[in-house]
Amino acid sequence: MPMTTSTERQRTAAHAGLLSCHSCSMVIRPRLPQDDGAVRCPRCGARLHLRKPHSIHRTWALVIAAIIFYFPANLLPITVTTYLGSAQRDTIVSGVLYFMHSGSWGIALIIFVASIVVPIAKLAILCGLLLSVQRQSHWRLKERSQLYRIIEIVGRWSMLDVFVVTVMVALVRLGYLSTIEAGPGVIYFAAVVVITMIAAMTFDPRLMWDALEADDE
Amino acid sequence: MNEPSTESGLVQSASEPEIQSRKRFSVIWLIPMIAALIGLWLAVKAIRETGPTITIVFRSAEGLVAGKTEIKYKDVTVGKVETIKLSEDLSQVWVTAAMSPDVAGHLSQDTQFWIVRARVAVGEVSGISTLLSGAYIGMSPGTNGKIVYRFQGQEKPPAISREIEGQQFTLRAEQLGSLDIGSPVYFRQLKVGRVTNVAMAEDGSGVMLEIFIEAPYNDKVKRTSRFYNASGLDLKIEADGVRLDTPSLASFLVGGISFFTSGDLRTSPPVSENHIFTLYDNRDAANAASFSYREYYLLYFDETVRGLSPGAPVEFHGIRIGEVISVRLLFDQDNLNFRIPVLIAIEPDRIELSGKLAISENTVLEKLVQKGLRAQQRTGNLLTGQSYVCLNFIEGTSSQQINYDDAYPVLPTIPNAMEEIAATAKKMVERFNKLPLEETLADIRSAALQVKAMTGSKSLESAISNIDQGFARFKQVAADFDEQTLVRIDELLARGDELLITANSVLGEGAPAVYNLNRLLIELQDAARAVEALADYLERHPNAIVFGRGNQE
Repeated sequence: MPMTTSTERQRTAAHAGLLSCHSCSMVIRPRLPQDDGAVRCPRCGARLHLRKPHSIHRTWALVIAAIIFYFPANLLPITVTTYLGSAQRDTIVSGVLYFMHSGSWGIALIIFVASIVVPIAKLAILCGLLLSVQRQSHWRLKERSQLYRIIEIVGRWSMLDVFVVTVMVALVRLGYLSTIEAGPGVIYFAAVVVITMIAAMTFDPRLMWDALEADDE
Repeated sequence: MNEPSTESGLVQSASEPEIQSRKRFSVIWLIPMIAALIGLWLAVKAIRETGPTITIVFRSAEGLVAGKTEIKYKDVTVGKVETIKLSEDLSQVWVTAAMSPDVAGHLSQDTQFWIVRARVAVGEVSGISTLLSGAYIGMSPGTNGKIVYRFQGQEKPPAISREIEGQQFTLRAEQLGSLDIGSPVYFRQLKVGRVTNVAMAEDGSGVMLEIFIEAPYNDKVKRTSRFYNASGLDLKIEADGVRLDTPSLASFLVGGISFFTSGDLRTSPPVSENHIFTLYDNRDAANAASFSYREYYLLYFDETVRGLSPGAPVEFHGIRIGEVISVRLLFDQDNLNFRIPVLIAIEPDRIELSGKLAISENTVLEKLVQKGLRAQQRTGNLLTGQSYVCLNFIEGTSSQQINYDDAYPVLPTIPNAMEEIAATAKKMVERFNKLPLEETLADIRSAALQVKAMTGSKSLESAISNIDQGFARFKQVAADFDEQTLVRIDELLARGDELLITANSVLGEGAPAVYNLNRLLIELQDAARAVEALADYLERHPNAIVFGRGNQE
């Protein structure tokens, strides 16, 4: 760890007994809680927390749910293509393979990255961050923060696949000749994407840095 | 553990109370629990939906695609082909398929699998789509038994599905046309069955089709039913316009068979076992073929069959019941004589039935022959000389039986009717010839002579001499009484004269009695001459007895 960060560690708001409102970002020095046990922002009335409440528990719960849903999302078909009476069921992986075999490497890569790499990466990174926070690890805090920013930005792009399926189902309605229907896998895949996005939101990256202060005391 | 320590770091002064969140179960954990439940449910479902994996051995995998080809039973998908491999010696194809657990209990020894290729499509309206969707594997479930995981695939679909009731019929066609296994069979344009098998006739003279008609329509097939190929369009330009007959779209595309039953459905005779129907090319041909069911018999004629040609009618009491098929000449090398076998076809459906048959159908004809049924060749038209075969009951014929030694049963025959008449006439003439005409004439002549002799000579002479004697005796008497009674004698003399005159008038030349006698003699002579003339005439024209004396001369 570079020394500069350690000398400036007293400058963190928490260390200085300050916290910021989640909604209006006002910096407040909290006093005793009110009757209902909640600290409220004097400007906007939002509940005040020093850190996101139960961040680690919630994130863990959501990550585990997402991991569970990830299996049906990949094993069940996401599209059922009916072409001249013969139905074909495609999972995400078989779709990627189809595009690969048909020579559309670009599309195959996009779907592969958006639908397979990104969700797995997100879940893996979240797990890693949670574990590191719980272990109060000091290891590469800056890079870990960068990773967190990346998954927050990139997470929504996983919905690409769901959107593609939705658009195709709406467009390819050629009656008897050919129809595409959404398979049950889409629901689970959408659930994975949404749940990981929420998980990324509930995770409080400041907890990573709290490890430094805890060490200090 | 983490949060309380950070919260404690929040406050600098020790007097400030710790704000510690109560450690309680967070609602957020419900999310992964629900996810786990859903996952568990999916897993259980997937496991429960996985049936056994079986291996089917085929000779060829034509049309099968790993991962795509489905196994269907009653058009319901019950499995999917997973892999297609060649056997080690490359002679067979091993197809592994994942079966649905629904049919797992029916995968026993007698379960059958076969590849249904493009012909699948036949018949159903949905067939149009399956025409394009490619082959699938058909399945006929077995009876419940020991589960087997390895099957020998059939080359052809089984003829009859086990669970469908119905009846199998055999048709014979000149050629197959667009028909194939699975082609539909229509009755009044309603699909009632399908073609289950197609094979070449043993002698190569046609194609044998086996069709399966589902219950209850199998009752509608009678012996009088006629089947025809209903594929394709029938376009006709007639005097009253253009006529277009189209079958249903499906049979137009894939071919089909229709049938109709002529006559009354209730009274038509049922189909006998092994009966082979003829498949006509179209409806018109089926209509034209009057009676499809025929029984063949052979007749042997010893007389001329001039005028008897194939197609000539076979009649019973003047009603047509069949036709002559062929007339041949047969030389018997053993006995050095000629025989003429005439093959006839009888169409029993032309004969309406009443009552109940106590004996078997085959013995009916035997009984009829015993009752005197005979075949006979007759001249139908005197101008053209066309003959026909007539079946009739002849009374008092010697009992004969059907001869089954030939290729066809042989019915006994009797000679031609004209020949019979000629024979009778000849016999009559012969009898006339044998009549003792000469003797009769001689008798008549002698009788006449006797009359002549009787009347002409002795008796009359004696009669006259008797009169002379009487006269002489009278003369004597007169002489005796001469003196006594002269007057009376005179008177007597006068009376005697008168008597003489009277006697003369009675008995003398030109007297009526003699004249009458002469007339009688003359007429007897005439009668004798007339009989002689008749005898002469009859000798020259014996038929005059039958036809009378012509108006000749």
